[in-house]
Amino acid sequence: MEPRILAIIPAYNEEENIVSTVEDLRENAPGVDYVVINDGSKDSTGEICRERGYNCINLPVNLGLAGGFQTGMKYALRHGYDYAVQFDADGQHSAAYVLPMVRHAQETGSNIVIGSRFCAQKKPLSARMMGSALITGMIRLTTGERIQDPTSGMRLFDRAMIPLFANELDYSPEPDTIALVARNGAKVSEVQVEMRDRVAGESYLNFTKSISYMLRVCFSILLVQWFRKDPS
Amino acid sequence: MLTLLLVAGAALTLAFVILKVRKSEIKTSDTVFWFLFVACLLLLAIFPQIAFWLSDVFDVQSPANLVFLVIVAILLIKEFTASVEIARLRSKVTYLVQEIALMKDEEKGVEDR
Repeated sequence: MEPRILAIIPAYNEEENIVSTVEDLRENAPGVDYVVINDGSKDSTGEICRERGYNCINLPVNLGLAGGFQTGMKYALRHGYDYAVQFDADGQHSAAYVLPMVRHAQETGSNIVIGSRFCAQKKPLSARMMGSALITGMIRLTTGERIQDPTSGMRLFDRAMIPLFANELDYSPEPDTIALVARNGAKVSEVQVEMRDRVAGESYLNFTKSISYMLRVCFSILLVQWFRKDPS
Repeated sequence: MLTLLLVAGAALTLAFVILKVRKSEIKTSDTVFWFLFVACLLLLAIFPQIAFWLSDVFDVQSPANLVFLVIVAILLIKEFTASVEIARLRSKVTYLVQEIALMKDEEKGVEDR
């Protein structure tokens, strides 16, 4: 039997990108269902989805990426999906890689498959990539897992992971949570993907946000994680 | 001088709490802490000997230091419990928003059928 796959697309003010993202999925990932989580957008993201008849869940207020993604996981859980993939609405991710990621998960029995930019390629040298390398190092140190692209936002979760991310408090789709579930015994692997630069609109991460992001992730992986309980 | 400071602090806190109670911007149960806090300040103002005695016991250089230390400690605890409470409220709001959105989506699905 074919696995049922759901692409979760958290979208906050993505009127410029949402159509191309959904159409990309429809064209290049046949058989994959999708759900747009309109995270209290102030622009016309919600109207566009309604007019075009996209499958869209509207959050009445803005919750942020973690809350939006979790809504998608709850949807996946309640509709009995086998795999859920986190898919950015800003046009960075290519739908063509979704099915290869699912195949990889099936073949290797991985619980999480990361669409990785640096699985087969070396990281370019930039401030952002140094941050990425630092997180890779910390995850290696604390879990022994080698994850080349921990900050990639394209992640596939299998049936065992969906209830965890749907119901547990503070299971945000971030590198520190990946490290946590890896430490608790989940199998994490990577598949090489290409990512596009942002097509339109503004990136979420500016300088100060990047710094506080790094601080939060570092603290979480190195310190807080050791005190968190394994819910499974 | 310390006495005056403590009385002023107590009076201001009391006035502020009463104002909030009158405007119903604070829950009665939450006022308990602040009334007790005011009572402690007044007690110290009226019987400064307490501060002197305690600073002797704990080898603190001056009674004022001890008063500051104790007040800072109490407020830190209060701040921490407030932070825990905010986290709890935030997770409740998140849960409710998600449930509302998912419920609306299910209703829509039923209508379409």
